[in-house]
Amino acid sequence: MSRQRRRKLIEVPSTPHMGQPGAGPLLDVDGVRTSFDTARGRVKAVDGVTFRLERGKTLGIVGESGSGKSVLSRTIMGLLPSTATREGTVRFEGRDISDLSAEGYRDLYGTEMSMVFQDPMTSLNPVLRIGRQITESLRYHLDMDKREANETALALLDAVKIPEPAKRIRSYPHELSGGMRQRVVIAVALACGPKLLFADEPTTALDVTVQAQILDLLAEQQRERFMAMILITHDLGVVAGRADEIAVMYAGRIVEKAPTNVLFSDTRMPYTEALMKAIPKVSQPSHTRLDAIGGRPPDLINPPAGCAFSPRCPYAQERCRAEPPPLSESTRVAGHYFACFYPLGHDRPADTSPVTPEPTSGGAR
Amino acid sequence: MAGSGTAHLRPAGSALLRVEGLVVEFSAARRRTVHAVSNISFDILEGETLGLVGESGCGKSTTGKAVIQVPRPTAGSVSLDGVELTSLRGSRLRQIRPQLQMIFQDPISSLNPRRKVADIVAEPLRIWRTADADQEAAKVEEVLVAVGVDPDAARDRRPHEFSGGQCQRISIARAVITDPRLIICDEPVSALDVSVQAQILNLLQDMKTRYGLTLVFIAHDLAVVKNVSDRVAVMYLGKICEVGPPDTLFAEPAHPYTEALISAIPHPDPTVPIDSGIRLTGELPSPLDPPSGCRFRTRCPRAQARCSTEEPTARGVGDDHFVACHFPLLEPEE
Amino acid sequence: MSWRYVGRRLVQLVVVLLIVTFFSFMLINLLPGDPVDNLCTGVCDQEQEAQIREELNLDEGVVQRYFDWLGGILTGDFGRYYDSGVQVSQVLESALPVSLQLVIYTQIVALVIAIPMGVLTAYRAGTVFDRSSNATAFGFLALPNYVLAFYLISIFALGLAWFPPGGYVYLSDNPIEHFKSMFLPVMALAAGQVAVYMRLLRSDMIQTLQEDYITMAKAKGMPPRRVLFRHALRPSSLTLLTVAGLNVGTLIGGAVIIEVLFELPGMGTQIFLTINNNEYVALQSYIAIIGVAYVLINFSIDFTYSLVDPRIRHG
Ligand SMILES: Nc1ncnc2c1ncn2[C@@H]1O[C@H](COP(=O)(O)OP(=O)(O)OP(=O)(O)O)[C@@H](O)[C@H]1O
Ligand SMILES: Nc1ncnc2c1ncn2[C@@H]1O[C@H](COP(=O)(O)OP(=O)(O)OP(=O)(O)O)[C@@H](O)[C@H]1O
Ligand code: SF4
Ligand code: SF4
Ligand SMILES: [Mg+2]
Ligand SMILES: [Mg+2]
Repeated sequence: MSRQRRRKLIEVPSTPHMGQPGAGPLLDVDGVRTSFDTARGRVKAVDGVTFRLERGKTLGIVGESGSGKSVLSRTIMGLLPSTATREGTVRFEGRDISDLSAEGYRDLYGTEMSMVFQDPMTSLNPVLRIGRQITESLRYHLDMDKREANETALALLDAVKIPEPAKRIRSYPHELSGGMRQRVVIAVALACGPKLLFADEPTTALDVTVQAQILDLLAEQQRERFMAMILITHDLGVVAGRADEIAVMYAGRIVEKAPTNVLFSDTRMPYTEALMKAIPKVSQPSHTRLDAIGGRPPDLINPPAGCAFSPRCPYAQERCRAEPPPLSESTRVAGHYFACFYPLGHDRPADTSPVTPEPTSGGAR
Repeated sequence: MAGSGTAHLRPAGSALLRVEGLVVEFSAARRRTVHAVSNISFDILEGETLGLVGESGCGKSTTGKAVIQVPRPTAGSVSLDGVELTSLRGSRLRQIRPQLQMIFQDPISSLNPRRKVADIVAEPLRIWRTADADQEAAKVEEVLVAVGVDPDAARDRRPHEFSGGQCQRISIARAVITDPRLIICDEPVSALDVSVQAQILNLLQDMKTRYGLTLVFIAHDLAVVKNVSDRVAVMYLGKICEVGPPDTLFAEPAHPYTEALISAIPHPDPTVPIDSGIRLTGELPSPLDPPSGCRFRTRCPRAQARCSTEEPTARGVGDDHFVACHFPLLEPEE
Repeated sequence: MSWRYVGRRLVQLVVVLLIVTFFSFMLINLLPGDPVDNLCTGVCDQEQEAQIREELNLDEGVVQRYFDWLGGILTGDFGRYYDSGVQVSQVLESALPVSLQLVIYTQIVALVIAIPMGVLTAYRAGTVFDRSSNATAFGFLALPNYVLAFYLISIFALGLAWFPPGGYVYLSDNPIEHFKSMFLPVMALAAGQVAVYMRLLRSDMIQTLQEDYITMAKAKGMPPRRVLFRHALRPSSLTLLTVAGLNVGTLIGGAVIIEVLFELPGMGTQIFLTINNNEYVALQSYIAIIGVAYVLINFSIDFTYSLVDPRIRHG
């Protein structure tokens, strides 16, 4: 897309960029695999992920540390290190972007997709004033002149609710609190009016009160700009009220994906259930015994054959250890996908009574 | 408490640990002072778990460290079983150290990477040579089994060969090996994944039952604190705002800050509507120059003139429920 | 930066300068044997000896003599050559600018080559380009600069005759000839520095390129050149800055040989001559001046840290 055209699109950043009539999903990810060659062997960080995201919608991606959430988002954005190998296709607005060159991706960044990182303490350049970090992409992508870019930056700082933007625009990152910095990061990400925002654990490093403010802010900006968002987190609570759909990842795969309400009310995949049960909740009385999941996530270099959750799954059967369950759509609810041979709920075969998982044994990773 | 006061303390002599008027200050550049902890009081009964919650920088870790006297507090009294720790010096203090243990947030870096697990776990015993080699080996084996680590597989390995959860188990083993009276857990599960977090929380509960431990449990995750605590103290900018049993405190917070904290908790349940009504605004003030009167007043929706001149002190608002606020959400008792 | 900080640093500076000048001054006294014998090397008559004794104030205590000498230096009296009676200050006037030019040109050339090389080798770490640049740089580092100087002279001066093999032309006399006369000596000195600076910057840069804010700059769609030079260079250059300051010392040492080889009438040549001719009074002044210059350069570098990295605040 030429700079001229892009600029047109952006001039009114808060107008919805409605897709052309009949256009497909904004993002279409199909069979994406990403692996890293390391000294120990090949790490299969993302192992066959498929999903679609419509314009203006929010997809929550939930999973424990190492489940491949960040690698997946970086794969889609083309931000992988050179040690990575990738397969599969990614379509953005119908265009295959999986084999774009570095320049090709650069044209997408900022105006089509952008990213908010986890740690606001490290994601801003410590030696540049925050104003400069915002105006930089405005000037580069939208060809704004200095004055115009400055005014837009002020408006953005105001939009992300930074008090006294005119003063703050000249601050360095270290002069701001964590919450304020994350607002700046969001302003940077929103600057050129992207259609898709990746928020990779945007609040993990922040306090609850600030977390709530930042999530409110993201939701508000998303509504105003009709922007789609992929909200990555390890905290089911963060996405529960804020995502349209949730995908649960385990060992590099999506193991369950459903509209948010359905995922919580009709959980089918044992890992999702286990995750929900393991979280302490304020709604429970104190000293409620938690249902911990025994063991720990698999080694991604030598993942277990079959279902990756089978060593920890209370319902595992012979078949689970032999072949991997495919991600298939529920017969009960359209749009509800899960990867399990013996899903929870009443269509579970009668003979699948729970077995106790192996106890945690000590020993090396 | 965001004021001072001691109304929430139990009768003298009944508590295992009693902290009164604790002040910890650090000196900063240009002869300024960081008021990290300013005149707080709390106590813990034998076998009780006290949860300390509050936002980053409110002084939780500083409080925990002041209890074990590293560094020694600027002012105030810390007494363990009637022994005043702040006046102990040298070997008298070292003698009491095995009774106070600490578990830290980062499980991997809090263990010496060059030493073997067996040595790490046995170390607190060796300081006082309370056991001979056989007794020591037996004790190491016992605690490792108790925390769910296979002693034969683990003994001769080093911390980096273990996952975060396993390292936290080893830290717990090290902490309980001296049969301590009190363990200070500073965010012990914050760096762990949910599935492992639940294992460690359950383990702490089991260890408490097994060894009769008394815990100070520091965390910023309110749900975790509610789950493990018998009593919760909410801190804000070096002060205690509210103290009470977790179920009461979460159901009926009396302090405006507690209310704001609770309303910010994300619920893993889409049917719970997001409560964006009570959002704290403004920035956390600097501990270099805390607000006068009630320290929460710059962000408090209920603040009035009195709050800037007079510091609120602890008052009872219910059964074992205390708040330091001039205009609390619950009617104070007389 | 507060005034109090500046004041404190200035006091420190004065103390360091006193120490540096004191040790330069003590040079004569530390030489074994009697200073007068050392100066005369056995060829003075009694009268001359007495005169030296008088001029050096050898009958006074060391501290008193030091302050007398320091007072002289501060008023521009650096002593004189015994042999010729020429004032040291006169020689300084012509020699100091030559050496300053040599050192400054060398630093500029070294940095101008090393910075882009450091940035690019970091960006392309592990590639053939990176490895061959590193190998070349190491080669230059291993080669003593006087050996390199011989090669340069024989190839570019004697062989190709692109540059003069020696001699000095004043900048004000003929700028082109000036730079031509300085080219080979600067290259001989800069080669080793390039290797050091490039390696330093490369390793700091590699670290910086792992930082989140670099990924963020890429995710903003900034082209690589901008990411490298706008976003990554400044945060990576603190060590380089420090070492570039400290290296002035090495450079001055190297300059002595290079000046002599290329017949540049700078401080190095003077020092060489004073040592050869046992002109200890002049030598002690030269060494004091070099020491002071070195301290002042490193002192001013301290103040530039906060320009490079705003997190470093002097409070
Ligand atoms: N550059 C890399 N080289 C080798 N392995 C990598 C690299 N980046 C990621 N991995 C591995 O890929 C797996 C997935 O990592 P990823 O960062 O996507 O996890 P995550 O779900 O984002 O976890 P977290 O919650 O900790 O951020 C991990 O096992 C990780 O060690
Ligand atoms: N050694 C120290 N020197 C100076 N200031 C300190 C020191 N230790 C802590 N502080 C300051 O004291 C205050 C309280 O810090 P503390 O670490 O106790 O907070 P915390 O509640 O544990 O926060 P977190 O949740 O981030 O761990 C902070 O403002 C901190 O910057
Ligand atoms: S496939 Fe088998 S092991 Fe995997 S989650 Fe389902 S029941 Fe458990
Ligand atoms: S009402 Fe006053 S005393 Fe109570 S918390 Fe608010 S500011 Fe503090
Ligand atoms: Mg991640
Ligand atoms: Mg802390």
